[in-house]
Amino acid sequence: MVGCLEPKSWDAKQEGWSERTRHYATLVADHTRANALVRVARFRPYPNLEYRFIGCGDAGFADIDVVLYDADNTIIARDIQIGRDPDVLLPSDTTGLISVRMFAADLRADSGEAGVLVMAR
Amino acid sequence: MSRTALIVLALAVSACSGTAEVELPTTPPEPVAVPEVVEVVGEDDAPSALVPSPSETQRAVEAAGIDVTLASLIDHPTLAIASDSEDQVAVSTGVVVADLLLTAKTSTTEQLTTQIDAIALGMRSLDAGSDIDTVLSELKTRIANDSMTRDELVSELELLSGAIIPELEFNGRARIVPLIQAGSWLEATNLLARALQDTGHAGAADALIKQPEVVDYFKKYAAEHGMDVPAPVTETLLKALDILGEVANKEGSITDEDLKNVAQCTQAVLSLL
Repeated sequence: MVGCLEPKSWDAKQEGWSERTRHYATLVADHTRANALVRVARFRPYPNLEYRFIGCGDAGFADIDVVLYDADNTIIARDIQIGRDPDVLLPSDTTGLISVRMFAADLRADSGEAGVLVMAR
Repeated sequence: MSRTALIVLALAVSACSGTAEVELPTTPPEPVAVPEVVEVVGEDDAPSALVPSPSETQRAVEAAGIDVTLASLIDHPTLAIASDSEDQVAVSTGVVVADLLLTAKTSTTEQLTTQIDAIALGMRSLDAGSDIDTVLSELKTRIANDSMTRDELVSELELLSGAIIPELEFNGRARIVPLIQAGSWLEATNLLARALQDTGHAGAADALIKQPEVVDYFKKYAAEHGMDVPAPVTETLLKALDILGEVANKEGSITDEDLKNVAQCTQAVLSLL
């Protein structure tokens, strides 16, 4: 259970963000070995709205990242902090379909549960 | 209490289980670069995330500088959730969810209660489970007691629409969530097209209406699963999806005529519910 999402959602709402969707993923050790990312959501953002991606992982992670890709599979934004609480803003000029992916950068257990909130305002 | 119930339900319906108890080393980990070439694992992301919520659409309209509230264009009473067709009940429930989201800030308590009762009836008909019934019942109580602000109500309804309903299992029938979403999206698209027409903002339509992946998602769903609804509904819905697909994939800019077509084809479906 990724219970860490709920307080993050609450905090963000106090800052004027609305929860658009939330997503969960189970990441396993193979994902880091294969340099693989787990795709958790795709959508086309509206222009003039801000989008924020707030993630978290369980204690199995030492570092988990949220990475955003455009339709050409190019990274457009990513979490650069070490830790299991990624928080990424979508660049304001982004158009077209984007993919939200999670990267188990440092997983110390066989598997870990992670989640991402997609917030908008 | 209601928020607590929502949280409990949100957690209960999540697909995750058990937080791992792991002893981590005390030394800080080295940063790991996201690889340039990646293998994307699995195609099983959440297609439901493609669909914008009605309130997100309303915010996008406001952010585009268009002074109109979609709720003001809702010109039908709360849909009666009464059909022998489970699929039709799901689509109708989605329409009411959209209306509730859009009108939550301005409706009377009585109107809100009527809408929540309709959604609850739909959810019961669709075997959504007792938890969602409890959540809706508590929402109604809090509205009646005036113990939540309208902003709080909107926030909880967004959680309901964007996180809780998509995770409900409806007794194993995966078809239900896309149908509820289809109802909400058809209603919001109809209101949006009419709003852009009425305010003379066809120029903003490209950014607001063109969502080809959403149309593809519903078309694929209809093709793969079929629709257990009366023939006129199926026929009208498929025709509407074709028109919406043409407009969404149009290379040139959306015109007033396109907006008129979008409004008409979505209205044709909604009027059969």
